[in-house]
Amino acid sequence: MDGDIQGIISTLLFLTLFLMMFTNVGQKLQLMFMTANLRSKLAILERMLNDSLARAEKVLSIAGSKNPKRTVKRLTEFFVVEPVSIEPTDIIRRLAHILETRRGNIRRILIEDLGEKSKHELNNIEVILEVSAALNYLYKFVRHYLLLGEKTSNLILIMQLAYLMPYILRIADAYHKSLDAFEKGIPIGDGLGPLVAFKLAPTSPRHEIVEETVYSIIEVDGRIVYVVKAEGPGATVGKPGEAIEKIVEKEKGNVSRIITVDAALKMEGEETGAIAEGVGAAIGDPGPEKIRIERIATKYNIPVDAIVVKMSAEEAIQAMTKKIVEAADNVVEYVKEIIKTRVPKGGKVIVAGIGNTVGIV
Amino acid sequence: MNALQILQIAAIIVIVVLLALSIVMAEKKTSKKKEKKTIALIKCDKGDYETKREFKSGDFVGKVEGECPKCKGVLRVYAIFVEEIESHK
Repeated sequence: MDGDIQGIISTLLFLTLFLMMFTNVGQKLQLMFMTANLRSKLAILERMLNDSLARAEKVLSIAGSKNPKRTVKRLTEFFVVEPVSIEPTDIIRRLAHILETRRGNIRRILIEDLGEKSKHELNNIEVILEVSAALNYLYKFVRHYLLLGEKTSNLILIMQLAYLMPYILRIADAYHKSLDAFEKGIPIGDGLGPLVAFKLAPTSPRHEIVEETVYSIIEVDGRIVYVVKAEGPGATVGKPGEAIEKIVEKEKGNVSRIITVDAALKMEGEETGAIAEGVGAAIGDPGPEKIRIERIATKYNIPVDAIVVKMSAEEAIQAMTKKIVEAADNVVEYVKEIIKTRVPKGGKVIVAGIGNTVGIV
Repeated sequence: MNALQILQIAAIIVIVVLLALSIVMAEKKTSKKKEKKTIALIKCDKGDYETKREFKSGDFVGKVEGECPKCKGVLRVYAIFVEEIESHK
């Protein structure tokens, strides 16, 4: 009897091994398991998306929307066609024009639905809708490749998606959690630059220089400092490039230095809140603002310093942590040190706090 | 008991141990829950007074919070941040 069972088990094992190695049964099984796993992950993504859409609708309803469902649908499906890049002439101007049109159109749709609102309120609503749009895109992206992989029984496609999934879920979770901060108006990690600008000039009056961008003037040990930041406390990044350009032109190029302060993505293993110094314009916009800083600095031969504080992508879009606040205090001292050692007495310097100023005035 | 039987039993034990390990690891990952609190740091403009309180709706960095109890200067929100308190549940 014992021998019979042993024989059956051995035969079954052999058969299974044979089927796995010499037919596509193994692959099919792998495909089946991976697809089932991806479907459960897609369900998680769907839950996050539905929650973000419901919250966006609620925010719009509270703000007086006539048809929140329609507005959320319109704005989460809104897309931008990138300018032609095989002909690079003028690409920055074309990109800036397209981004400006996008911003104008989104603002118009919101005003049509909500009526006149304060720009800070509109900025916060716009960002909440942008987060929902990002989640909507992630959900559709995963669903597309999952269905395509299933339809064509493409194990490679499914496998790639399965290996990407933990990263996609991490991004989606970060976006989903960021809604809390934007709904309540809590500063986010990316607000490090504006926080440094605030700490440099907490009580100085803010003057609007370009749309949604302000500057203050302070004195640091006999040097005149223009502190530039987006206009808070609504969620906006402003136009720091254009603001710096205007200030430099207003001063006829008589600016000793431009210092940009921004949040930077850390590599795995790096400490959150670590400060790094370099040169160049530390600004993560699609291009139009950064190039303005580079062009005006080159025109008048002004050195551009960059100070960044390291943080993860999740930390950058979620409520600011204590470590980042502490880093901002250290950056303020760092910036003052640079001003004292690299700018002559009586000289002028621009310090730009780059980033989203939600919750920071 | 012959060699093949021993091999089969060993294979079963290895599979059971691996399954148990993976379950224990997953449990460990989920057991550490972090409680989050949003804090508003309030300071006097002159720097002689500092206090903390929980974030309230409508708070923002730069918001004037009244008069300093020490020097009658301006009290202002200087930072808003999230603090994590680890709690094992």
